[in-house]
Amino acid sequence: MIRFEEISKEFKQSGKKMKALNHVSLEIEKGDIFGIIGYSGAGKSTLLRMVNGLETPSEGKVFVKGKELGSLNRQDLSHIKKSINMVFQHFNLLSSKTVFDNVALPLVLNKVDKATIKKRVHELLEFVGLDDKASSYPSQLSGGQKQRVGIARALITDPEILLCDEATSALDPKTTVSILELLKRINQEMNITILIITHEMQVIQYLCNKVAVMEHGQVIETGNVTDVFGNPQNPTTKEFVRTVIHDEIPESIVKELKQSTREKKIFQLKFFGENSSQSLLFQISQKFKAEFNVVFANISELQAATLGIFTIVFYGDPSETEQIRQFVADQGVDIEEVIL
Amino acid sequence: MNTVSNELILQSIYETIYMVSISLFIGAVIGLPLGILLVVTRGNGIKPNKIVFFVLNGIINIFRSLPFIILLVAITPFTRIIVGQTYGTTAAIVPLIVYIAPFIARLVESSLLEVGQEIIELGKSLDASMYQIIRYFLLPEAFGSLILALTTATIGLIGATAMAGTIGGGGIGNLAITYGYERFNTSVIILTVIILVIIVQIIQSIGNRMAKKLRHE
Repeated sequence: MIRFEEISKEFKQSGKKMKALNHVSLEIEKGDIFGIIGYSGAGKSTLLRMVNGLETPSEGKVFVKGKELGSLNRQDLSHIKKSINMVFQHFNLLSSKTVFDNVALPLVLNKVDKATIKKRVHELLEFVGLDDKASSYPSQLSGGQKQRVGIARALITDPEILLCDEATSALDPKTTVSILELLKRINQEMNITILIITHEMQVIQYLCNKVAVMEHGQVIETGNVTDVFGNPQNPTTKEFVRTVIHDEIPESIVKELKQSTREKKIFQLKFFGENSSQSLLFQISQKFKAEFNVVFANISELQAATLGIFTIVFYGDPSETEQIRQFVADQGVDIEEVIL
Repeated sequence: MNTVSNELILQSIYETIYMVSISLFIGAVIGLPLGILLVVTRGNGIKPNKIVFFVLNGIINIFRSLPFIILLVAITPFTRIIVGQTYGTTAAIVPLIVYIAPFIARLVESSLLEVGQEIIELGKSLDASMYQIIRYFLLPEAFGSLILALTTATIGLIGATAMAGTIGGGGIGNLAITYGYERFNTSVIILTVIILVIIVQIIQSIGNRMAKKLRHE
């Protein structure tokens, strides 16, 4: 649906050249909810704006629906842009217009007749749960309601792609969840491909099926959300994952473990699906004599799967703990020794 | 003590309203597009154009720096071409327009610049043309502020009309100067000042009220 091929972008800032994007390649397939996460200044916003031509790459190519944007004439580009709409962090509503007129605006620009506009606006306002606010002005709405208006406006032209620019970053946690639910519904019920950029890992965890992590203008890690969350490779990715999935042993337990003089090894086990974890622990206790103790456990929901992280201390001689490690690894479970 | 007749006062009020309304209307018709052009062609505008912006900006600055009383006399030949006369109320309208149009252009410029870049970005993301961005995004968002700008321009014009007396324009300001100031008649000065204060107050409150209604904040 969207393909970035070796995209670079340079900006001139007070005479100095700044590289905002550095050879970025990504592919977003139809039906994806693709999240791009990164700290501010990572270049994710610039990348997003290339999809609808608000930015153009200095090098590389952007393909949307199989067409390279740089090669299109104005008419074809305009045609492609009509199938892409954007949801903004700060909603970008016209304060001088009612909710109805704000949502209607894209159709007015397309010179759609009034009766159709009226019908569509009410359909969309109903979909986002704001039909009773049609004649309100944006200043009378809460942040979450404003974003619903922004979303209704983005949906009114029946787009195939929705670009979300930090769509929940200006909202409180509870409202964020309700907006994410709405975006999920849009993806499922309307079959709209969503590309969302964010700095909040919760957004990725809750909403996306695929993720790309960006830093200093480059994609440092990308893949299915379950894979990236389950086994982050890059330090920055680990940092992001840690904001939603805690895998650190609490300080008090670390202290206790350090004080004990018994011979032991600490392992961190990661697996998907809760049941498998229980049977694995059962098998370990049946097979080995070693005493073990779960010192930390965390189960997180990711899409349909659950990711379990267990930190377990095994007491016993090194040869046996090594055997246990091998046994667990043979079961296809990710196991890593934790050094205090 | 009152040496001016009621007819003369009414006549003066009429002259002021006549000069202000016509020059405001034509000044706005000229100033509004110029203000829009300034915003559109500036460096970070919708269609940046250094040459157009530089020339327009320069011309407006030149007219804005001329004192009105100088302008009044300096453009007499031009006034003759336009209205066929150089003396009287109608003749005063030409310099008033030349004075107020660049002022309105500046006020329109600053009103439109108040509209955030995010609104322009929205327009671009919806693939709106330059005309559509101006018509559906910039102008509606700046409307309240534009009303206030026109209010300011109107009051500025009332002040300028006092000097239009120099070329026989008449008006309340002129009444104050010729019958009050030059004849040492304090009561006439006070009377005309009161009338001016009332007119300005009325115009400003109408402007404020309209702007408030349009802004929905």
